[in-house]
Parts: sequence; C-alpha cells; structure tokens
Amino acid sequence: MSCILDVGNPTGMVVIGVAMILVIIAIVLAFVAGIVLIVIAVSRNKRKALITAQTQPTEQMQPAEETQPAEQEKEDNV
Amino acid sequence: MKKDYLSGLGYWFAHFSVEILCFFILYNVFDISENAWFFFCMFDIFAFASQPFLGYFCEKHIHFMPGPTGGFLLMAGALVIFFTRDVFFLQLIGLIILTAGNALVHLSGALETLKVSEGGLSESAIFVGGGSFGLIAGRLIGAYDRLFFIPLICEAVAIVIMIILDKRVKERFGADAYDFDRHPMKHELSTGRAIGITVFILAAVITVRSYIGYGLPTAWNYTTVRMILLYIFMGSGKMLGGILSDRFGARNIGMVSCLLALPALLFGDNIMWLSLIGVLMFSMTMAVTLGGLVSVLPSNPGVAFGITTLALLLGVVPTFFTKMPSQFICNIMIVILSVLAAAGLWYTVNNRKRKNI
Repeated sequence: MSCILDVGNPTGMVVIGVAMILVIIAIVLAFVAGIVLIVIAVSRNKRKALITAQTQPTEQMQPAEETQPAEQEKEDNV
Repeated sequence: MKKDYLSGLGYWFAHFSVEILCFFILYNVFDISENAWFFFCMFDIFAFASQPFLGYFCEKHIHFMPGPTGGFLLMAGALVIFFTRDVFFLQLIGLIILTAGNALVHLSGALETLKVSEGGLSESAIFVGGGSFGLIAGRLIGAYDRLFFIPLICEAVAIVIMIILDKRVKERFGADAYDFDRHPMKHELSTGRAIGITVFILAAVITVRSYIGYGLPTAWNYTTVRMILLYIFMGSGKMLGGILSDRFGARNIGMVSCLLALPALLFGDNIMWLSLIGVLMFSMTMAVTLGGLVSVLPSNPGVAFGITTLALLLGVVPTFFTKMPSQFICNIMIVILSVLAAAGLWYTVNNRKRKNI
C-alpha cells in the first residue's frame, strides 16, 4: 500500500486531493459518532452498575428483616 | 466454566474466511488500481468504524443473525468489486457492502465466543487469531484471478458454520444471548476503576499496539515464506493470549507479554526468530483488552468490541498520511509506548483466572 506522500504525478493531484478530503471527512465523522456512542454506552453501564450496587445491600438486609418478627415473637412468648 | 472449543474453532474459520476474501479483493483488484490508497483507506475506515454502531444494532435486535448476514454481504460485495473493475462508483458501493459484511461477521464472532466462554477469554482469542491466517492467505492468492473461487467457497462454508453456531447460542441463552450482565456470562476482569477511565485506557492500549504494529522493525521479512511466518506468529500470539490469560491471569499475561516483547522488537530487526517471538508476545494483549472492555460494558458487548476496532483504526490513521519516523525514533517510541501500555493494563485489568480449567 503506497502512502499519499509518495504521489508525485501532478495530473492526479486534484483527484488525490478530493479523495484525501473524503477520507478525512469519513475519519472525523466515524470518530465523532463513535465517541458519542461510547459515551452513551459508558453512562448506561455506569447507571446499571450503580443500581446493582444500591440494590445488593438491600437484598442482603432482607433476611435480617424477616427474622425480626420471629425474634419478637420469641420475646413475646418469654 | 467449561471451554467451548467448538464455537472458538468455528469462528476461527469464519474469521479466516472473512479475511481471505477481503484481502483477496484488496490485493487482486485494488492493489493494482490507480486509486489503491483511497480504497485501502476506505476499507479500513468502513470496516473498523462501523463496528460500534452495528454492535449496538445487534444488541438491540436479538433475532438478527449478524454472522450469516455478514457472510452473504461479503460474497455479494466481493462479486460486485471483482466484476466491475473499471467502474469506480460500483467499486465503492461493492466496498461498502463488503466492509459491512466484514464488520457483521467480526461482531458475531466476538459476541458469541465471549458469550459461550462464560467469563473466560480462550474462545474469543481463538476466534480473533483466525484473522491473521486469512489475511496472509488472501494476500498470497490475490495474485491469481483464477483462484477467486477459493475464498468464495471458504465463505460459503463459513456461512453454514455460523448459522449452526448462531442457532446453538440462541437456543442455549434465549433472549439473553447478547446480555453479559448476569452470572455466569459476566466477565469480571475489571479492577473496579471508573468505567470511563477504564474504557479510555484500554482503548489507548489498543491504539498503541496498532500503531507500533506498523512500525515494527522487520528487515528480515523479504521472502514470502518469512512473511507467512510473521502472520502465523501474529495469529498464534492472539490465540495464546486468551488461552494463557485463563490459566495465569489476564493482568499477568497482558503485562508480561508487553514487557517481554520489548527486547525482541528492538533487537529483532535482523534476527528473524527474535523478532517473531516479539510479534508473538506483542499480539497476546488483544484478548486481554477485549475482556477488560466487556467487563466494564456488560450491557453493551457489541459496543465494547466496536471500541477495540475503533481504537485499532485510530492507530492506523497516522500511517495513511505520514511515513513512519526513523528507526531510532521508532525504537524510542516502542519503549515508551510499551511501558505505558503495560502500566495501563496493570491499572485496569485484574488477575482473575478461569475456574475448572
């Protein structure tokens, strides 16, 4: 694959120039759109991770809450 | 976590077939064209940059079969390009179809091998390794028009394999086929740093690897046999990276391979075997970075894989417009960038090994 700087033929310079502009536009568009998508994906996964982190302690606490009435019952019986 | 070599090997062949067809077209049709530079650039841009978006699409449409669809698009694109050699506009349309197919097969392979691996890296690494073998095969047979039937037959067989594997995964996982957020499919290679920082660092590691890949000093590589050896070592390195990560830990393999590759890359310019060992070690980080990205973006595995290809493109872009710097500057860059890449992997990836290996 030859590099753009190797082109020494002046007659083809206009075509090469147009091609180069097209390539640059394609690259810029691809990266801008890609970064937007990545930001959306990162914030979505961040939000999900946060929700998971918030719900985990609640789930762990549930058994303890469930045992409370039983313990109270025991105390009442005593 | 039992290894699923069937998916890994099936997609190894699918990846091989994609690259043999694409590189046959690139070297048979475009390499001799006046617009070679333009078509090579456009191939890289379309094939690499479209993957995050197509990945996002695949995540949302669970019944869509990216692999077989991609296979058909590849064949259609290749036929259009091959039979319209003198029509620029049709060639460009053919290239867009070809690269869309290329991207879809890559995505299918990544999503399905990561899924069946259940948190491991071996299967996806085996899939990734197939590309290097296809690339060199396509490049070599690209010199002969009459051999066009070989990549077409390979692709037809790959489509059948991908249909079988796609059905297998979707029957096993159902509607969750592309959701990696639940155990046991969840990859847990992240060190728990902020998601944005992890994504940025891992993408930077991939970009560095991609750029250095173009600047590797390989003065010894002047015969066809040696070129074949180079690509065989590259593909084997990618495969070994995942397999060894499952056994010895992703962080260990990522860092060690980055640092051990250094002397081989620096002093292997004229010593073939030393250079090949460097290439093998250097290619090992591929599976580690992919695993790290999927670990922090479990709800978007397609986008995670797309980030790797976008980062690869970023590493290639400078080579479109500039020549590589002198060997001395290249060597300094290799040292600095490799050390930074190793540090980045240490910071973002943990050492979790695969259970029941």
